[in-house]
Amino acid sequence: MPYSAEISRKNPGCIMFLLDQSGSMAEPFGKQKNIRKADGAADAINSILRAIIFRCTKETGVRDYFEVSVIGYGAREGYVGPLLGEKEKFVKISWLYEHPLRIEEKIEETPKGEKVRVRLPIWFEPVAENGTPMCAALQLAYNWIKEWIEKHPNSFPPIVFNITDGIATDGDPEPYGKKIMELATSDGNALLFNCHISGEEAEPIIFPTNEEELPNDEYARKLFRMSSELPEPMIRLGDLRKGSKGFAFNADLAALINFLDIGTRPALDQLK
Amino acid sequence: MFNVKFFSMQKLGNEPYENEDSFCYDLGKGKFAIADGATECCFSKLWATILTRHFVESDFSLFSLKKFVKNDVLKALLSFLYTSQRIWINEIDWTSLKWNVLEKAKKGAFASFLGFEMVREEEYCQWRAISIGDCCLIHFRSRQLVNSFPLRDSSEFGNKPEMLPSIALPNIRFRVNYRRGKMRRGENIILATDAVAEWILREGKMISICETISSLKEEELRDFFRRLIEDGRMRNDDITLLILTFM
Repeated sequence: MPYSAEISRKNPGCIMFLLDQSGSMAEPFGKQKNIRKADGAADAINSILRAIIFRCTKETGVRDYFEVSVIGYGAREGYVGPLLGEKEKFVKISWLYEHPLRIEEKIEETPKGEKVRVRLPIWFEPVAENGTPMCAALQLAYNWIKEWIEKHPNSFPPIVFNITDGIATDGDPEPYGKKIMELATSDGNALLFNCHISGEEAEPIIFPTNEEELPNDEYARKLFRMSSELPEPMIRLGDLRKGSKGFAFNADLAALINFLDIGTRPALDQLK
Repeated sequence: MFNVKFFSMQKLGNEPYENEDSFCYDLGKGKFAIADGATECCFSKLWATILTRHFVESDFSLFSLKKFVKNDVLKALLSFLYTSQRIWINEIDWTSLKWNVLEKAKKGAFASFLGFEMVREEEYCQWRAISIGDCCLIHFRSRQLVNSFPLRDSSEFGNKPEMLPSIALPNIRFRVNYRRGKMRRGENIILATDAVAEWILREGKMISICETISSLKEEELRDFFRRLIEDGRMRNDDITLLILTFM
């Protein structure tokens, strides 16, 4: 059965985020007028990275069950490149654990009732400037995922999340997205999930099954077409409709977090 | 006279210290226990070890129950569980944990567990056992598998067995399986964690499994199980088994 490969330190999983850092990401995020889209997206990725580290944690350390990549696009004019480390395409999850950008602190209580200071790592600061070179970002993602698959031909297929609020300013992203979806390991095709985040107060549409569920918006439909159908384990875990695609339109912060959670859970459940 | 043979090895690809199964026994007391700590938790090896040791070393006894019936067994198990949980919480130096370990450890560790106790009579032993999850007791007589508990068939093994939690959880539900029986001279009882129990229940009926395992030395057993896993006949998992023979 596809999407059932065991994820282990020998056969790690791969999770990639493409993060739109264009100027429009400075606008308010859905109904939450005090949060910018860039802040919400950075918070959501920081949070999901902590969740991945959490799942890979044993008392003796963080086990390298995953390799992670984050590609930012738009922060500087025409910029498309990695946001983790110096120039690394992928980093091991233990490296990520050891190299946060900064640490936030909060107080928690232990089962013995002691108060302890807990340190929460942050890897991204929000950025919102310039245009949206999404095609270039998808092309770079394709190159890196292809290379990763050559090294890990039998691993659980890579999962790519593209988080964006806008229209690509460097061409038609659909063929680039479809190229990523055609890449495959022996366990199934790479998965491309697109999350369109919005400043609108309209209800989000998450995991639609066909284009007709979306507004008559050519751009939304394009992102829908370049999104992978959710594999069976994801449908089951998220209790979703068969044929649902990994696409969210007009997502607010809660929808984005839910989207990332459902998208990563089947891989996290394959940890052995 | 009894003979006890035990074997435990970590999942292929892991280091020996990463084996999260545990077993403990005291032949004099006639008490035996095995446990399988859940991989996805922190301190699950510690939890599995506390459960097996506490069962064997404490005064807890299945034969002290006047009636070996559901309510009495459950009450005794909850008392055993509560004291085991206190030991687990006190064993951990919580203030020294990093954020991710603390966050995870606070959710508790989990383990499936089987406790077995026997009392010698003239020509046979009476035994009582409790089990939560998929650790199994398998009873052989004249090379034939005559009984297995709590699972009876290899198809019953799944990915989500019931487990004992290391912290008090408000909505945790688990079924307590309990069984009693007799063991006569020449018979064997195997206590095994899930992967090896599943394999025995699928293939062991056809071969003299106890003799095969008993005849092999530790390194030979390691190779024996490694081959089974590599041939796809056994799941790659931590393996623990304990064979008790009434001679």
